[in-house]
Amino acid sequence: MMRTGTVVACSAAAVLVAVAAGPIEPGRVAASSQQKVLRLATTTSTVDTGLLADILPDFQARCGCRVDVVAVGTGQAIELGKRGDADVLLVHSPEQEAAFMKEGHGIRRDDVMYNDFVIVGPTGDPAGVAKASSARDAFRSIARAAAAFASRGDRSGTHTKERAIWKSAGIDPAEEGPQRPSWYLSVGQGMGETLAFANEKQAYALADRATWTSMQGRLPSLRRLFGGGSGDENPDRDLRNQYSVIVIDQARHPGVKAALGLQFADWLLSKPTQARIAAFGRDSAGRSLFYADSDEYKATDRVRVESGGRSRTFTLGEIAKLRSTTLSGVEYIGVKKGRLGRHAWTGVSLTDLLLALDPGIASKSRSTSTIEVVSSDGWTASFTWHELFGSVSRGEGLYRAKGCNECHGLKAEGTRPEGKRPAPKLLGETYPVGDTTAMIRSGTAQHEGITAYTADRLSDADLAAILGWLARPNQAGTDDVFVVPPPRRIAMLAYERDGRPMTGRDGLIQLVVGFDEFASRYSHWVSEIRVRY
Amino acid sequence: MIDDSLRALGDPALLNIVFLTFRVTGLALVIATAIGVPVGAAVGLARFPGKRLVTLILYTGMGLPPVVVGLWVYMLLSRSGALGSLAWLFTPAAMVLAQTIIAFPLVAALTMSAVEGVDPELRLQVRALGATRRQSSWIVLREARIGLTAAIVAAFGGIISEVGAVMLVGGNIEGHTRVLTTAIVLSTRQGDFGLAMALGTVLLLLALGANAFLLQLQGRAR
Ligand code: HEC
Repeated sequence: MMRTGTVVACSAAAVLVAVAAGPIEPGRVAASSQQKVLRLATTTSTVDTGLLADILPDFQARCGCRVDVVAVGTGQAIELGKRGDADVLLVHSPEQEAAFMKEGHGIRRDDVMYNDFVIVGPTGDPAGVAKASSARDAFRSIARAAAAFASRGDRSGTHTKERAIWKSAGIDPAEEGPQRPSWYLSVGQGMGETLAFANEKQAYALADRATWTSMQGRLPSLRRLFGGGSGDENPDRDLRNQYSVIVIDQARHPGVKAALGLQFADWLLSKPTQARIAAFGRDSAGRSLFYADSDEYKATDRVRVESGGRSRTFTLGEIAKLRSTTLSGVEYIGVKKGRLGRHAWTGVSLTDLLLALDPGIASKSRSTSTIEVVSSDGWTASFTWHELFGSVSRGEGLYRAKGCNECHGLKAEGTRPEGKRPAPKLLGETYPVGDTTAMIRSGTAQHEGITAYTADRLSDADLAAILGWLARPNQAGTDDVFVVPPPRRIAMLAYERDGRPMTGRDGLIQLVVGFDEFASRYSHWVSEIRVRY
Repeated sequence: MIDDSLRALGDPALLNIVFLTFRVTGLALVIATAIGVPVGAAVGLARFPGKRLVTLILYTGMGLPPVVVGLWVYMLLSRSGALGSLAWLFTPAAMVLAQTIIAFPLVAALTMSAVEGVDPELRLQVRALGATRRQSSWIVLREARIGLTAAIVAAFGGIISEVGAVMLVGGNIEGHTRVLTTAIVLSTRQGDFGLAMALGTVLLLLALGANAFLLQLQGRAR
């Protein structure tokens, strides 16, 4: 019965040969548990553009670990995070991410980089998208012309963005269900497939610039119609595509490697990695595919000072050579992190720095100037000339020290910030002390929801002094000079905290204001100082 | 296209992918065969109450979409799933598990119908000649060998070309869980249709070779 070696046995033997070609799990599991493995769930764009392949080897060498990259849509990546099946996420859907953090799945979320979206469409541009002034406008004209539009339709970051634009345009073709217009084509696939589809169907589509740039050559009948030639030229800020890294919480999902995840996030946000992200694509595609955006990257080690028609850039080394001052016991309040305790700060006083460039600035004839300290993320803190070089009445000093300027403006001139309640001009107005004190204390009436001004933070006497200054701004007598104790009466560019040089995350050079009690004029990543007249 | 094929073939990463494809599919096929053939044969030969129900389940299993199987396996192996502690998710082991589940009903159901197709007279004759129960089963299986090969070939074809489940539970991790089908999906997504086509050709050639090998064995066993 030798030949009873049946087909089954033979075939089984055949496949066994194939299997024997190499060891397989669980043998492999045992081998790899020796090596640390970090599991990164990310959106397809970071893989499809080749970015991760470019930067990850450096991290793997540093951590002596392997990074397993699972590239899926943002929706699925977030779901993997929620189930604890990934250690870190690199995704681009701020709304979904915020909800994710709120549900407590992540320990940390930081901005990593951004690129932007562009609107592409058939070369003939039947809907006239090229003439649009904003993305919203472009979408409106597509809908008006009932021109074919290819949607990702896969709940990815790009799809989420597309839905948001439709919503802001007051149209929701995706939500109309059975009455969904026939020009709206929900493809339900990745960016590459969607673009290929649009190319065939002569349809419009929203695409992230990185994927579009890398595929452009293979899409002959499509053209970029809105979004400008590069991220910097994009006329619509709403088209920004922000990527962030999230480290999953080990307490919530045991088994997640949070320590390794944090190491990864730190590495990703560090200056060298960020520089590499910024350079990626510039060499091969001729233009950046991603713009580095971490706090650390934005921290500059030089400050450009502009005053009296002169300008000069001071490096950190040059700043450190100027006479230094130390200010101790100043509470450090991070914009995102809240109160972080009291510290001693060392740096150069803002007046010394300005005088080094422009000695004439201290003269009385310049007293109408405003000094603006600008951070690399655009945050601007302002000072009046009197605050730095002259004297300030008690009421005016307290007005800013207590942060009223945050909403009502540096000179109580009133502000209308975008998307927030406008705060009225207060200067020159007379307010009844009793009623106004009650209003500001209780956080009701006009100050509805502003509850910071409790009696221990703002005394009746201080508030009366502020209201007095508002009513008679020009009558402050010399006896009424702002009485902050001299050591605290300083605004400085600090480069050391508690004797240690600052890290990029906090800004290498930071503005610290000794006489302000609220955070309104602290800033990180100071990069420029301008004097305006 | 030819350029792309050459480029693909010259890539050492491709060898890795091909090996992994064969290891995963091969192991899944061996396990599915080892369980599926006896089960299929037993169901085919035996007569018992509920046989129709078992048959129905096996036939339905043949039509199960791989993604659904992938989803089950994912839920099972997820860190917050029942078998999360195995840490199998996104490893080749998870892919083998998923493919085994996909292949099993194919092997079992086709074995069953192959065995049922053998002339019942044959078994009676053999039994009459004094063969034991086991011996007679062997003979029936031998008689049904063409059907059995078809079962294995069908299962092989089903899982080597499958992408939904391995993508979901394997994660298409480069150098670790990337197999031919997921590599094809990736290059398609990247718009590299040339490479995708080339990889498809590689897959086709490999399947051709494997099937030729199986048929050769069947011929020899005759
Ligand atoms: C967080 C922003 C914010 C801060 C900080 C703030 N205010 Fe206001 N304040 C407002 C807004 C907004 C209004 C106007 C609300 C309205 O009219 O609907 C207002 C109204 C007022 C009014 C009434 C103006 C009028 O014409 O009716 C007074 C007086 C006032 N604030 C004083 C102060 C003083 C003094 C401080 C500092 C101790 C201060 N505010 C700090 C936002 C702020």
